[in-house]
Amino acid sequence: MATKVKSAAPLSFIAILVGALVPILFAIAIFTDGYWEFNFNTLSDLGVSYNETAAGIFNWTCICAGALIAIYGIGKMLLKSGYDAANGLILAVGGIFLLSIGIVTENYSEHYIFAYCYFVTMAIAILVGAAGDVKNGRNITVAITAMVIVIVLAAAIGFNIAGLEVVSVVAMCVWIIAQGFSLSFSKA
Amino acid sequence: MSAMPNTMKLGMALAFLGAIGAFVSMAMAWSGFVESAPIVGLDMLAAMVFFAVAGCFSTYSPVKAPTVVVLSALSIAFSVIAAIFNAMNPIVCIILVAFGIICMFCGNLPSTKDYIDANRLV
Repeated sequence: MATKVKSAAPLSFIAILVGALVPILFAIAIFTDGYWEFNFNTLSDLGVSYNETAAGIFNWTCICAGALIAIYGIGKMLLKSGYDAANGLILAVGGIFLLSIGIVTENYSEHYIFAYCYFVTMAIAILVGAAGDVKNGRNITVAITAMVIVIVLAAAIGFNIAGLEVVSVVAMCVWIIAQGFSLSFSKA
Repeated sequence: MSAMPNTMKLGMALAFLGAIGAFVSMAMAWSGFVESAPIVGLDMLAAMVFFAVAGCFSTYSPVKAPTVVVLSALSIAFSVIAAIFNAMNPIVCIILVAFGIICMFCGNLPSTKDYIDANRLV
């Protein structure tokens, strides 16, 4: 009789894919736009770029990445328990906020509410994830979380909100790749 | 006392090389004016953490094995911060990040963990 075994491999693949592709696609959108400037323009400015290709790349990246993060979070919530399940639930909510950022562009005032909610939710997800990692003795993931937090805090001191946003997004991508690898090596 | 594993020797060697690289960046960042002090300080911070990691890989490590991993990650973080604030050449930063990643994995290996926990003084 064949027995069903729960596998975290598809979820890990989703996390690694999102973490790797989002910075690349944002970079493509920035180069397509041509006028976007670090520490002066926010990433959301790309969503209402004069260049429709750049705007399309940014908005569709947010929508697809948000949906994939939500799927990853829900899957992790169902697969794990305790802190890890809570981390999955918060990530799923964060994914929905990211999806909303892609749909509700900067032309609408609600965009900023979704953007702030996304960053706050991801910050909570990182802290809850760190608690789960410490509890389960996943040293490498804890170390990467510490690294990400230090880099974001330094950026908060040295840059304004536009620069901080870019550094935070890249740091989140590194963190989510680490989470993906951690999930693939953990026992489901 | 068992012989020191090669992973610890590798970690220590790379951490020292990382610290020397950060020190060279620090010297290059100094422009002769006091205004360059914060930039020099960022490189100094990266160098100090790399030296701390090298010390953690010594025979009588002063910290637990997981702390070595976290310190290695912090050495990566400070190298990246130095590069973000134009205090370090991006190529030097990439090399230091590679050294930090290898130190992180060396610190997480079972042979290193066992040796550190067996010989730790504090």
